[in-house]
Amino acid sequence: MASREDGYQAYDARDPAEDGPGPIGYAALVAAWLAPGLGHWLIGQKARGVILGLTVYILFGAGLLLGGIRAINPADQPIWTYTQFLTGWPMLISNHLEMQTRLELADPATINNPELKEQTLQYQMEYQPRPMDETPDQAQARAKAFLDAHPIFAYHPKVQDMGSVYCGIAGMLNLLVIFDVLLRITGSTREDPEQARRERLKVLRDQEKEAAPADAATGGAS
Amino acid sequence: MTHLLAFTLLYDPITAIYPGLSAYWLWLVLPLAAAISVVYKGTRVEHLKDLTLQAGIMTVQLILVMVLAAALLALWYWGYVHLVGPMPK
Repeated sequence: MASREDGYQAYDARDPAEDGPGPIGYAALVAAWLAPGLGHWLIGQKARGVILGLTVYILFGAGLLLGGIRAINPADQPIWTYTQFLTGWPMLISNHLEMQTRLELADPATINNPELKEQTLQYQMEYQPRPMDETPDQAQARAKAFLDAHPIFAYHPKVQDMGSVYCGIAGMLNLLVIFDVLLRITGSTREDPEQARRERLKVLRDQEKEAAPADAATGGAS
Repeated sequence: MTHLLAFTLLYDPITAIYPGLSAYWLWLVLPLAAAISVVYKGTRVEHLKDLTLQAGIMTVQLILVMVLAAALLALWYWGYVHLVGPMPK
């Protein structure tokens, strides 16, 4: 077989890895966003894909468990919405449900769950229209009594914010997973920081050694 | 208990059935630190058999740094309140 040693450059002039990621590589990149872990699975890193994917799914699921659907698209915190979209299909479905919930709450008659529909209508009748002669203390007491009877409407900001954070961090972690797929399909290698430090020190020492005889020759005239 | 009929898992917040969870919200940082460690180290380690140890070490490091940061902030706040005092109105 002809080779570079033969002076024939048409063959093996480029390393196969330089041909680019190929269609599977690009598909893996898109799949890594759409379904966390699938990108690694497609490029043959199956065990790694399962571990990374499961972790992202569990974290996103835990966020929904803590904050409910209100963990998605948190009000006044759009940064979490952007990062949540990085989780791919779990967020696409959750976002659809959250939008649907908003529409239902705007018109409780359209709520499918009969118990929730009844309680939401009751909430609107009992709580929302505030009597004109009601003092702030009375309003607070009425709200507390209602929430004690209907804890599903109670807002627990710390836990529910953690729900949003869990879903948002799941997205950011999936971004890390996507970058890892990108590094693997392009054949890039990460630089070991310790190795790089040693190499920099070696270069500096070599430079000092080269400079030392020159100084000796000039007799340190400067 | 009739209010629980309306509860849907993963749709309603877990605090609807466990309102006391709010008192322990800070502990929710631990699984978050563990998940971050598993994914970060999962992309870095060459052999997956090293993942458990590496992720465990990183989880502990993350928690220790957060505890240290919290202690420094608390110390700064204590010093500010006791030494500088409230701002004049």
